Amino acid sequence: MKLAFSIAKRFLWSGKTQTFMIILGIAIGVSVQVFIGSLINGLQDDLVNSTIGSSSQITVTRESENAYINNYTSHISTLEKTDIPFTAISETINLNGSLIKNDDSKPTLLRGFDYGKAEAIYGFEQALTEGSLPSGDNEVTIGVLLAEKLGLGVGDDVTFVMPSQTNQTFEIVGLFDFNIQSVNETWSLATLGTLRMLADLTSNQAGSIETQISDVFAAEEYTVAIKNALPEDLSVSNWMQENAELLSGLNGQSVSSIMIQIFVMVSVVLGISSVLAITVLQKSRQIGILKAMGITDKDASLIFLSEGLILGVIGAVLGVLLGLGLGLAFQTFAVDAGGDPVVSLSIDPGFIAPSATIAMLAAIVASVIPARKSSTISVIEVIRNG
Amino acid sequence: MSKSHYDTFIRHLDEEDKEAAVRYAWNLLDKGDLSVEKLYLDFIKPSLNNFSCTHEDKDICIWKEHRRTSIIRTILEISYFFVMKRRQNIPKAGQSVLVVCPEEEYHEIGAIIATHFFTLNGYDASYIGANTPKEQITKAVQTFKPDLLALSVTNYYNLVTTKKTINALKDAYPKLKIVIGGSAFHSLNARNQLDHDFYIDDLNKIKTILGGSQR
Amino acid sequence: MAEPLIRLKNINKTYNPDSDFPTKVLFDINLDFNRGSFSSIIGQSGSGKSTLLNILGTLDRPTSGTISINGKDTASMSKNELSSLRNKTIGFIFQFHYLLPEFTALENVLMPHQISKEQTDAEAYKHAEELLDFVGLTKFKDNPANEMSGGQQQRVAIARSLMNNPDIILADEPTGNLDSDTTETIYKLLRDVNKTYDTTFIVITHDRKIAEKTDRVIELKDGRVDSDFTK
Ligand SMILES: Nc1ncnc2c1ncn2[C@@H]1O[C@H](COP(=O)(O)OP(=O)(O)OP(=O)(O)O)[C@@H](O)[C@H]1O
Ligand SMILES: [Mg+2]
Repeated sequence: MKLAFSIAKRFLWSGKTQTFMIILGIAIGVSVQVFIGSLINGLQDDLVNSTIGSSSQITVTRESENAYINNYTSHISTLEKTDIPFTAISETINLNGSLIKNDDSKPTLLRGFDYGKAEAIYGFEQALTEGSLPSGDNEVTIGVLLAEKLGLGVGDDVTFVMPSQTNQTFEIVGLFDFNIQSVNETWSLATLGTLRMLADLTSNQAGSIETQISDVFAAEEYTVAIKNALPEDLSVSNWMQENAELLSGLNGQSVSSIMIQIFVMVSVVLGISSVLAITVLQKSRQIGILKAMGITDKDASLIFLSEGLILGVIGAVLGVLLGLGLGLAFQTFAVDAGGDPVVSLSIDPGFIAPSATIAMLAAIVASVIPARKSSTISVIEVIRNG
Repeated sequence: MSKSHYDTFIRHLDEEDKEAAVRYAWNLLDKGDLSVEKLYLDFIKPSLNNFSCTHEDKDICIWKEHRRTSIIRTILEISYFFVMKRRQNIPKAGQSVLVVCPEEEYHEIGAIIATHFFTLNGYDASYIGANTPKEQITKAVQTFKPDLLALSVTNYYNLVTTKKTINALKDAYPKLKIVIGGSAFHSLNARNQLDHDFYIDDLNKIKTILGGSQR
Repeated sequence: MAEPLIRLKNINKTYNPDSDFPTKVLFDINLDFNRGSFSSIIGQSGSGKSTLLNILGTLDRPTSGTISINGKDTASMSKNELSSLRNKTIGFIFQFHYLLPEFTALENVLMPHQISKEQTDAEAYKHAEELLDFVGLTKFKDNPANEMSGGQQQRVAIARSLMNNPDIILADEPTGNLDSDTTETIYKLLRDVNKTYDTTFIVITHDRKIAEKTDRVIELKDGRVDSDFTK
């Protein structure tokens, strides 16, 4: 093996230009993979993030409509004890109603949170454009569009009306902008206490438990696990069920990304094996000499496998570097008016390592044919033909 | 006495004194102190075989050997005078012989001596020459139609051409008797590969050829 | 008498035996070679000399007949055993020296050793350097093989053939394309090896000057041993 490797090294070194071209070929293939892969992953991350990044990914509610979860704190501690990688767990209470100012009335979803816990899901602090979050009873923070429509601002009073319930007057303490029109038009935020009072709940009741998880695409599995862990009268839903279209879009991207990678790989394999096949012909004289000196067929084959390995490793490493370089250039130069990258790439070692490994394996596989061909080289032919 | 004659003879040769050596040989033959046969076998043959050269430079040795050979050659030529004298009294054997060295064989002293021996044995003997290609030997046989063809070879490598020559001659002239002699034939293995009728390792045995005892 | 080092028995060789035009090149060759002997093979072009030498060196197989080396029949040996035999017992010198151009003179000489052993120790290096010294190329040991003259390359090839101290050296017109002075030098070298290491030589040559200095001349004619003279 050592001998074959050192001969392989020398053979490659003696044909520097050719060797450089093969390595460049592999490197470009790998870099395209790394770049396209990172780009598509980045696009997907952006999409997923903007769709479900600021909302509950797995939600626990009562089975029956309009019912509340009793004893929710114990359910939350049950969830915390599972293996599921939650990044946030937070209880919430929602009430539908309208906000009224003078003669104007707009429908609203009044939402109560423990803002300390829910911050991880919604990022309220970031969304605040003015004022603060509600901290006491009768305080509300409303969406910027809702405020605009009602002609209200921070410090104004507003009345919350629910069908068949007494009216409640709030002071607006802040405005938020989540960059989502429907939210900005309809949401109003109050404290959990306010909501409990309005809905007439005890301190151990909540409308739903909202969560986020680190691996969003495992939501389905976790849903099942959560169902098993919680009492039967609770129902568990996840973002995937509600975003089937987004999912199939993502799938389509993944498949096309894989296709691109397969084609790139196939062309890399074909390239390497054809060049190595030529190398066997170029080196058949040397192989003949080595055989006359008693090299075994196995060692002779190993020379070409080693060449494949060397080319594969160097090509893959260069390819990864080149791909990352391309990505960096893309992020630096392809920017929007605000100076932010158009697409933020996702540099994922869990993706780059396999594609580099596959390139190396492909190089070795590509060298199998020439390696086998080398054992058919006959010394006699070589000697006879000078 | 022969011993002291030989020593004197060798001394002249060592001194490369051609005139003294030739004169000395002539006188020995002329006085009848030495027969031609004895001159050939006991003087000339050892003088060539025992030639040793102590010079560092090999080229000097080769040159010295050639010089000695040339003196010997002259002695051989003048000895023919005594062969002719003797021949008148020898009964004719009624057989003819051609003596030749095959292609690439340049050592001809042995061949010339053999020719003289044949003559002294009553043969009608002629010497063709050194380095004679197969075709020319065949032509000579065609012209002279000898009973015997004697091949003298010293370098064993020339056995390869010797064999070809013999095969060609035997093909064309099946009745021609082939005589071989010379240092190249010492090995039995070599002789066995050559289609010959007589092998002469001692020129005195030439007389036995007539008796027909072969090989 | 001791068993010969190499024994060829009834060797026949036909090229392309199954084709429409089989070429029979060797006919019933029987030859023995003793240890330490120095033989030459001569014969006209096409008489089968190279074919015979390649069969002798196990580079090719005869159509029928047996080759025994050191008393062992090579027909019964596996491909790997033959490789090892070529590596350890036989050294080849070809007309077109066939060095590996990617390697230096010294590396070429070391190659047979590296093929047989994974480790190249200081002793092997020393031996290789001695051999290069032996062929008078110490100064050129680090030169790339393809940057040496034909005669130098041939001398490297000779050093290489000696690296594993083989019992047998087979040479196919080793001086075929060299001038007569270089030819003389190389022949002397081979003779020296023959004397020093008791190595058995079989040399194909067109050169009369070389052949007449060997101990045995074998002439092939139309694939048969036409004559076989020993000094
Ligand atoms: N692989 C082959 N296929 C067919 N015929 C072959 C092959 N190798 C050799 N021959 C034929 O076998 C005969 C002997 O060839 P070989 O090379 O042994 O001759 P050679 O005596 O070495 O000649 P040279 O002195 O020219 O090298 C030739 O007629 C040649 O054409
Ligand atoms: Mg040949």
